[in-house]
Amino acid sequence: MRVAVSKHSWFRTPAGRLYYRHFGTLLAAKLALLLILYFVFIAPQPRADTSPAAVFSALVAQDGAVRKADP
Amino acid sequence: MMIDQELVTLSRLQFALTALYHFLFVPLTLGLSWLLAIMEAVYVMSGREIWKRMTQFWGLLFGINFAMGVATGVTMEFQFGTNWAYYAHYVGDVFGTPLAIEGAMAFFLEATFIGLFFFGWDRLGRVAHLIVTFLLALGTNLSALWILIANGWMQNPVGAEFNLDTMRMEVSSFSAVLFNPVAQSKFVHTVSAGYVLGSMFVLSISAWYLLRGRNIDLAKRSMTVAASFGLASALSVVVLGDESGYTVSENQKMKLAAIEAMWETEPAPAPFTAFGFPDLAERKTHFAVRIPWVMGIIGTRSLDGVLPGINELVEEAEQRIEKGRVAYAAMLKLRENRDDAAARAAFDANKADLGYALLLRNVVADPALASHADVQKAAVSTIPNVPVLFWSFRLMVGCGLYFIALFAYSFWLASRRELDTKRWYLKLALWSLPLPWLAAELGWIVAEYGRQPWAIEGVLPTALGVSSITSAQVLFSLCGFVIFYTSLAVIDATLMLKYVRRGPDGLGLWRDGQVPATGAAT
Repeated sequence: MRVAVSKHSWFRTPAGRLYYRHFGTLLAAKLALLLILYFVFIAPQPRADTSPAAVFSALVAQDGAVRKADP
Repeated sequence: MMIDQELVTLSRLQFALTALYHFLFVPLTLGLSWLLAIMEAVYVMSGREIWKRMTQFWGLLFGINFAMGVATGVTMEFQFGTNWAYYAHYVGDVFGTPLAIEGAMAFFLEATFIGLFFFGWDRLGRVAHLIVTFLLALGTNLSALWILIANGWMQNPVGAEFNLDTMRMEVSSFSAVLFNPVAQSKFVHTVSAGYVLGSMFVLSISAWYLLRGRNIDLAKRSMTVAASFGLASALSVVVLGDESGYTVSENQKMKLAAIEAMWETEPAPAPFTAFGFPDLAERKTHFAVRIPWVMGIIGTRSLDGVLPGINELVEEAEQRIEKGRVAYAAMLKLRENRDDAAARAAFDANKADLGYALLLRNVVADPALASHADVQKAAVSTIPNVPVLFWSFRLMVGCGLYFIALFAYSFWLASRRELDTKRWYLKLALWSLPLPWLAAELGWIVAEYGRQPWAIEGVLPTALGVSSITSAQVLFSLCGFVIFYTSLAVIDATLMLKYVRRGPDGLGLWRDGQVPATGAAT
């Protein structure tokens, strides 16, 4: 059977347009899920203090260490 | 205050789940993009319409995978802020740079050209569209390069110095970070694994069409491309994996010893343990089957190179912890008095081992007060989970060898034009579909689980990278991640299966026996 192939892209056929709709919906759904994830689960969390002083105290754990550390 | 180990475990679990999920999509993008470029190149060179339709069909599946996979890695960056704030601060100056470049350069390239790939079929000439497809493939691979430069630095932290004032690692040589041998070997090994996965994806789905007697013309051509590209890639994975293993033997000796369950230092050249049951408690491998010389030759590329065993490396870790304690004490003094010359000298002489002293924070609240028993305990904590690494590595290697055999046989059948003559082979090719994913995930387990207890090898213990938040907060966000990724997985599987089932014939892309209106032979 010889079937002519359209000169136009497959993406302009109904199946092609459906694919574009799926592709777009997928991106939109994903963006929505990411936003929900961020605003519901991530943004409300407290921001960790990462100042040099806070990192220092996280590493040495307690002020007492400053006095006692001299092997 | 002791470290909350539950918080550390939950944070690690969340990151591991996210990374493993993200890597379900990445290797298919890496591999399929080059297969699209190859198919389209054949179309441009031969002018045969079927090759264009093949590119479009596999491009549809590539698009679904891309749309699902892209940005699943973004959530890992969320986690650097929420769960790994100290990690982000401590090494963000180094680690963040390649990540930023990846976003600004590779990801934009990839995202731009995927649009042109889909929308450019009618608007671009053949050669211009082919260039777009090549740039799309290049973008995906460049993306992997920058991510693996960041990851390679975690395994081998070169080109950075600890700054006592800012309490963080800072870049001292960007070229050293860029040309880190671990990053380079990981990059080529990882992208090759992606090429194998992409090839298996095309091979398996094409085999399914042949088993169903559908899309024969397109499936046979697709299998031929997949067999050729897959064979070259599978051979590359093994060769480049060997290179990756060699770099591990240079800078992550404990990881290599754990992968081999090599408890004692063996006389050179060390044997390779092909089979056995490693026992962490007794520090021995039960029922070990050893092949003489092999590990020594692979690991050192010599007959006289010695690979240290786990017990020797634990003793070495003890010594490094003691030296690290000197740096630690000097660091505390310098925080009190920046002009203390003796403390400065002590710090500079021992700062390479500061990270080892920080391992003590897992054992005692104050490393300065650690006893010898505490030091021994911290040294033992440098042993990763040997049984998991031992078996993950062997399963991964077993898969790799199987891929070589399968692609070699496929290539042979393709060269004899007998791809559709053996149903058992087609079934084997179909059921092999999940194996490259399994191998890729096992590879990451070996690489990252084997890095423990370090977040940054020898610099920052994983437990010290976590944020000052509660376990409940991590558990809450973990639930969010599970819901998010489960939803995506369902959508992805549904769409992918829908388009595979419809196939080129059902979608009106191509039917067997079809010839173009121009009358050109297909």
